[in-house]
Amino acid sequence: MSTPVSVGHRGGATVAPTLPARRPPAPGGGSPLLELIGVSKTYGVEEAAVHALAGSDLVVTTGEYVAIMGQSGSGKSTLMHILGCLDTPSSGTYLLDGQDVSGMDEAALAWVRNHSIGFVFQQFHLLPRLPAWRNVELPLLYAGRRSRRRRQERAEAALAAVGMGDRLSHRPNQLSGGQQQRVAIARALVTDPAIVLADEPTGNLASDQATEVLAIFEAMHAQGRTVVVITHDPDVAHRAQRLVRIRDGRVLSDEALAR
Amino acid sequence: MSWSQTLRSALESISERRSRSALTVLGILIGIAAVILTVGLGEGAQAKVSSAISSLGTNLLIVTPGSTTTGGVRGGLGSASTLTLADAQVLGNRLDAPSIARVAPVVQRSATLVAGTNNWTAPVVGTTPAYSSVRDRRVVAGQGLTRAEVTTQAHDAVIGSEVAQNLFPGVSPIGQTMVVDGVPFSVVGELNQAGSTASANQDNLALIPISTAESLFGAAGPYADSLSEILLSARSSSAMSAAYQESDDLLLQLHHITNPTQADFTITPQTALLSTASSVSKTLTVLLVGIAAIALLVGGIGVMNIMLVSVSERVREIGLRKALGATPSVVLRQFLFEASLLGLAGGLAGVVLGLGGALALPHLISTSIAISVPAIVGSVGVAAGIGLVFGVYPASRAARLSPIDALRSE
Ligand SMILES: Nc1ncnc2c1ncn2[C@@H]1O[C@H](COP(=O)(O)OP(=O)(O)OP(=O)(O)O)[C@@H](O)[C@H]1O
Ligand SMILES: [Mg+2]
Repeated sequence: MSTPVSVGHRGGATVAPTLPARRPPAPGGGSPLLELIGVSKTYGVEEAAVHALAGSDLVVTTGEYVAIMGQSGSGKSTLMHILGCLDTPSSGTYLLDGQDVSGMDEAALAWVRNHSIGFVFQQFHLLPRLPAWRNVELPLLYAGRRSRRRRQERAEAALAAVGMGDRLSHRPNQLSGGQQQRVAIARALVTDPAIVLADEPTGNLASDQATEVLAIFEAMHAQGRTVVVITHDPDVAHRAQRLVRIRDGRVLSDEALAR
Repeated sequence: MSWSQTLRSALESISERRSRSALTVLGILIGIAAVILTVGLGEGAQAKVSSAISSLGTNLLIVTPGSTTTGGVRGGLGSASTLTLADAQVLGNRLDAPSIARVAPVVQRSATLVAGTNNWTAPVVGTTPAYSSVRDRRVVAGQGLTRAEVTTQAHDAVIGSEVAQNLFPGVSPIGQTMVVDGVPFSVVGELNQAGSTASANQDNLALIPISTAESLFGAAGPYADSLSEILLSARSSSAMSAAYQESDDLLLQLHHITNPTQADFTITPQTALLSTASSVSKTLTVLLVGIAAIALLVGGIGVMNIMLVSVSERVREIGLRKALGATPSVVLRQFLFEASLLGLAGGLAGVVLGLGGALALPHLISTSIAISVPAIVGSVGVAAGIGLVFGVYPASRAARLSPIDALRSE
């Protein structure tokens, strides 16, 4: 499989203008990029309250490749949504590149989601009425890319990079679960984000497809991107540099992995 | 995202939901067309009534014998047939009544007219040449009554179109002979068509010289010298009240009445008739506008319904677009465009249908219809407002949710 086109170049300015320019990775660790301090997330109230996250602390430094594991319902997706600025903590602080996310307005958050973060949802979340390439094109539209031809080229390149080059015009309901997942991954990669957050990206894939997707994540990591992947598969987890285990909304263990 | 991109995605999502979009447009369309047609019908009826009344004569005052006051002194209404030709002559005097332009005394009775084997009953109006100008009538064939005919008590008649059709079907009535109460008259002219008002058919009458009428009806009537009415025209519509005042003063003086409440005549300005009739047709318009407003409301509720369902179905889509980097204002702009495009399409189609109906309807049924600009503007405004409020408000609420909450919604 070829190296994905969309991750072939690297500019220093892919973070929101409100954020300071990203520091170069410091030798032996790098600077904190994603920082959760005592973050809790509670759904519902009183007896019905569910503490999806109960005071989690986590620091991910620039350029790291982190795997997150944990039982079903342990709060992994909730954690990931907060990291991706898709949801807000009930309490605690989330610092993105040193800046408190709770102080950012809607426009700044939208900019971060669009330019800095590529998110792969556990349930894909493709728009059912749009063909694959139009789904992948969406982030480019919101990035304000004006040339329709250029957007289509980039969307098609991102789809080709995940092995979907022959399914450009299929709608989600004409694709298998694994194919939909790869369209969702292509959409996360198409804006060339500095941070890739993937919620079980290989959960629906056959092992050879899973290998291809993992190769993409590894290539992205090799280019200096920060990658966080949730998985139930120990083999997938062990391709990462670091493994964080979650239980009952808390970080249970955090270990560096030998490769 | 640029405006043209937003416009394109709005168009796409409209065409993706074809039947729903069509229903929305239909709801708006029907409401607007209904408003345009019903308001148009109301205003048309109003205009028709006003023009029928003004066809009675411009600046017309009608003096009738008897009083509307019900004092115990005099007998019943109309019992005092007190108007005479002498009264009419004084009213026609420029020096005494400068605001009165023309005066037409009238002696009127219903009679059977016979021509060959045809007979027809119509009011026979004995009057002077001033009649046609006071009543704003024209002679379309032959000629009108002349002063000479009045002086010589000529047995000449000018007839209305309905009399002409019934007595002389298919032939020109001019020069023909008709018999009125056993006396032959020759038809010298025909009046223009003036239609009918609620109280009188303007086309069913025969005019004869007043002198001829007095001798014709005189023997039969108990009040041989009295007039049925005197028709006056004021010099202009602004002279109406002055003309009213002058005729009132003169008649009181002529009849030796000192207390105006004891007057033995009644003066009715035509404007009074006009305002009564137009208030009736205004009530009609209000009724029709009410019906139209209900039509618009029902259409509007349909549109609200479709918009609400369509937006709440798309909360997940809004969440996803936000997750991919759409700002709330970009999301809103798209929904605003969608709602406006649907509203615009429905509005235009409704206006076209309403105007088409307004043009076609008078050909299908006998009615007059006006094209009401306020109705068009108002109904389009209301429909657009409903579309925007119910298309955009729920979308703006959804756009304020966090992306995950929106994505999780049902
Ligand atoms: N919107 C919500 N309302 C109420 N409870 C919720 C909501 N979202 C998540 N939860 C609860 O929060 C807890 C954590 O959910 P989360 O989706 O983070 O789990 P997860 O670790 O991703 O599980 P899985 O491996 O099955 O995806 C669960 O108990 C879940 O029921
Ligand atoms: Mg999950």
